[in-house]
Amino acid sequence: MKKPDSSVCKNKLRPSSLTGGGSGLKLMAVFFALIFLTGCVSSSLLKAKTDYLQAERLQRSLRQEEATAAYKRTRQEISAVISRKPSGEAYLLKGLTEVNLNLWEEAENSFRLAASLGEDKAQAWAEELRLFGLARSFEAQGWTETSTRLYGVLTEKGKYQPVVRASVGRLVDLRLKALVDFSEPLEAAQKEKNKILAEALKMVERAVEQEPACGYYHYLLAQVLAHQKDYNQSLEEAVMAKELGLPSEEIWRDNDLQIIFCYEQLEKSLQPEELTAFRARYNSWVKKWKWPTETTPDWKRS
Amino acid sequence: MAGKKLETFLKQAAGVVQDFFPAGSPVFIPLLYSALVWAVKRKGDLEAEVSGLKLWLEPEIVNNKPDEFILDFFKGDPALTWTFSLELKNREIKSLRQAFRALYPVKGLEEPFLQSLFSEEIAKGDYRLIVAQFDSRLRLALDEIKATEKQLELWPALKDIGENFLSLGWALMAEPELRARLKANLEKNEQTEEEE
Repeated sequence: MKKPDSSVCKNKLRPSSLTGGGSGLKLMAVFFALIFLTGCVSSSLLKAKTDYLQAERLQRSLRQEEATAAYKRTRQEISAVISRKPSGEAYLLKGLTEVNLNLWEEAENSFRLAASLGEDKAQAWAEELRLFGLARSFEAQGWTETSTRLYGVLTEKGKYQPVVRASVGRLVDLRLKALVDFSEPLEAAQKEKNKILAEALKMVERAVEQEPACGYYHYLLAQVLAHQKDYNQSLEEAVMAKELGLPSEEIWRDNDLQIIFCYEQLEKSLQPEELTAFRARYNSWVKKWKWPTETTPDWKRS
Repeated sequence: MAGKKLETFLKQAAGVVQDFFPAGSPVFIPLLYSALVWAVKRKGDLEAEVSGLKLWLEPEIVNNKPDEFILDFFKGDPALTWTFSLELKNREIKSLRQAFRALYPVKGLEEPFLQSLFSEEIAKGDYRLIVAQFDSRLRLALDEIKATEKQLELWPALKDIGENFLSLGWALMAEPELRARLKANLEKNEQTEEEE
């Protein structure tokens, strides 16, 4: 097939050539083609938006794997839209999708491009993602103090919820890691451990205050409280985390095992009169979750 | 579906997946097993599942547990209590914590890929071997899968196998029973192949 001559096309589109009858028709054809293409791009953008919302719905219903697949699909769709017609809105959606896929660096880049195309709020998000990426790099290189400081800044001053949540998670992990690694003589160690735990607790409690319906924060709280041997409170927080939803299956399962651990510890320590009421309360949850026994979650097989 | 049919299906499926890996690879059975378990659980994105494997091993999830949680994990399972009786008796938290890092995702969180990868050791109750080989075996398995990812047909092939499996009505079986039958059949297949 003969390749179309692009110079001819260019000539035909020149304003001076638009006055002729045939050229008028061609202009109309080009006009409608443009409208059609714009329509295609907008409908693809709309489809990507719909898929993004669907992915969010799946995530809220704790169907994490399906949500991940939907986010991946959305990212592919939105990348195709961008390659045809880049826009601030498209880059913003791409960035949001990438955050959900934990592609932090890519998200930062998308938000920057969104900001340069007029999406003002994306600039601040890109800055927060950049700081978070920096903190992760420092952490990977063993610069714990610097990364802790950066996570702390994001936890206190951050506005972009996914970054704030991830920073709180990293901060708690770093604090608990310090606790586990502690190898000082017993008495001095206990004092220092209590201090670290009090700090971690304060940090997560503040996060819960700001976002009480975030299951992940309640999960973190349950972890810290278990270190303090406050199994009653830890159990309550883990139950709340389960009811509010958690970001992944492994955290979900770990949280179930945390519930069972607290239950077993309380069974050993409660007085008989308290134990009856506690068992009744606990069993109502077990029934609701359809667990085969008090210490066997529905997914457990061995 | 009769046991014979399952055997034939798994033999064919193993044949398909095996083609993607070098001869004698320890990876394809765990991958096939996980693909079928995930299919039954309606997890469509197998690639995300496998790449998500590292999340199950995020050190912070398992490394930062309180000592009491770790002791309870070992004491709550008779086989683990027996294997680590000395450490438990002497309260050697440091070595128990190290063992916990490998055993908690396998025995506690029951990640299907890891369970299949170490199925032989689990069956024999050789938990010390899992601990000793956990990092190297897992790294090897993930590297092999990564190398295979270049062959774009792997994930669609696994997805097809999962869908065919579902269309045969296996999703109606209780998950523990299904896992047991899959495991038995896949291991049988593997033995037959070795003998041949």
